[in-house]
Amino acid sequence: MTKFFATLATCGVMFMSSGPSMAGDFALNGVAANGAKLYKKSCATCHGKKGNGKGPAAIALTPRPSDFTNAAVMAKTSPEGIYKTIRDGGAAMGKSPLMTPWKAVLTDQQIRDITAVVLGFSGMSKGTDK
Amino acid sequence: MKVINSLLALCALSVAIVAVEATLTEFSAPACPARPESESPRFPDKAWNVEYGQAQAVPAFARKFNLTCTTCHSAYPYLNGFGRKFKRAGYRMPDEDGSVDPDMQNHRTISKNLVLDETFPLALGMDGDLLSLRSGGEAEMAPFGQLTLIGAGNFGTIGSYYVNFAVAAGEDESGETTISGHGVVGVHPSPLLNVVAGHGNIYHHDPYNSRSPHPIVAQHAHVNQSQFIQMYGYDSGLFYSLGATAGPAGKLGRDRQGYARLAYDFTDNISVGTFTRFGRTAEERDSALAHDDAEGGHDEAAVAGATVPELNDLSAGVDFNATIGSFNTVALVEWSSQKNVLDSSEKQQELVGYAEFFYVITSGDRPLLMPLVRADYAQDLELNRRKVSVTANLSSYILANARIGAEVATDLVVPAAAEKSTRATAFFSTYW
Repeated sequence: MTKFFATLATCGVMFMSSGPSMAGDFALNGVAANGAKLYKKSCATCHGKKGNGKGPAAIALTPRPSDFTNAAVMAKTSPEGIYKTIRDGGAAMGKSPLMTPWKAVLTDQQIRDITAVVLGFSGMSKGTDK
Repeated sequence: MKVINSLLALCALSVAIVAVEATLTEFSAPACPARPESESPRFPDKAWNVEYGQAQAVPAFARKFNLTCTTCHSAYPYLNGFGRKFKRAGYRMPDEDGSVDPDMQNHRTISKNLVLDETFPLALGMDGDLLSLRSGGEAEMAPFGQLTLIGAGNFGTIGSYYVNFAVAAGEDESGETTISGHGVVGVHPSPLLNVVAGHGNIYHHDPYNSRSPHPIVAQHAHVNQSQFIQMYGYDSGLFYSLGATAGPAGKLGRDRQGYARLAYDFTDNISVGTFTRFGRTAEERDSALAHDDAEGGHDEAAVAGATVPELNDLSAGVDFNATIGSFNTVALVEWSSQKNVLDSSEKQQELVGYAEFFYVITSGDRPLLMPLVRADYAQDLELNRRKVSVTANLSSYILANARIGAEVATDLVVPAAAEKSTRATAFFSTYW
């Protein structure tokens, strides 16, 4: 019985330490280092190189692109939500339709890598790199 | 696959350039509507309208960067503040400070000296009038008005190109299909210094909407094409351009003109500008004394018999562009003067201008409705003749890149010898 509780506690600690990326059944498996260049190429135009939502195209967009450095904004989402928003576009997730889907342009792994970059702007990336 | 796409793009571009060159030598450009000879017999058809560059949406750019059309267009083909930055940067994605970061471009490095776009750089546009009614005339239909093939993008890290190949139905005096095209290449070493050269309208690279016609209002447009070379740059809100143009040599001479433009952006969406054009003009193609004949060639007899020598041409004006929320304003006023080189007492002066207001109602990632009103003014300062017309236009963007609409334009004031005209048009436009 003690062994059972010890195992349960260990699993619990692993779950907590992995952060939001392990919420539910979703495992991000993204590598921020691999996604950095892709982020600049595909996302920085709107979201900015620093992820602050102030990319050069932001002036033309209403609503403005998400600020990934804003903890309050990021608290409303999850790694899975970010991954799905990039993959399927904003409209599919009840967000801005100006956020286009990227699943036809990027591979699934590339989307996961970019998600890891986005999480990095907010400090949510702990445990996402594998 | 991407390598194949790049090779196909290169082949298509080569074919397009060859085709445009062949077209330019084999076909005459669509004739501009000639001013009635009785109004000003000694001078060519200069205006009654503002001269424009050609404005088109280029969906190839949206595909290249996987962005929506509204990223660059408030409602195509009107450029918004970011669209102007993109155009100024030579169709490259500008960074936050206006410079160009190669890592933000969707390019593919084939080799050290060969960098091409990742995506197929072609777009296709189609414009037509579903029904057109004019007072005193019969109803006309031209659902196939113009088919346009556009190739545009980048080569290398600082090069740009734009090739436009258009087939237009019944625009010349004979009513036959015409083919035209233009091509421009550019190098963009820094935001302060860009050089573009090619054959087209000198306002082709002007990023401000005041020099780019609305597709339907383009019926008012006066589009001249010529060889030109131009430098332009931008810093701290100030845009400049300086260029020279020369038309094809003809019996009446050759256009040789310089032109310049300054504009200041108070914000990304509010700007004022000034521009000038100066030099000699022969205006052979548009001259009331030298109409193109039905076969598309020049009427040699008329040209040989012409007594009008070259003209000293000078024009200057101011323009204004503003977008505040969903409300947009574009306005321009231009004064122009033409004098006989041999006899300066023979002159013509004109004042032309327009003001255009439109509101964009958006839905999701596209404009839904765009009501527009516009007023055009023209005055012959020598003969003190005036023309004032107003236009009302309502467009619906049934897709982000397809638009249908209706327009009514009517003359309020016309010269004594002319009759007032009212025109109603149902139109569509789509770019893919």
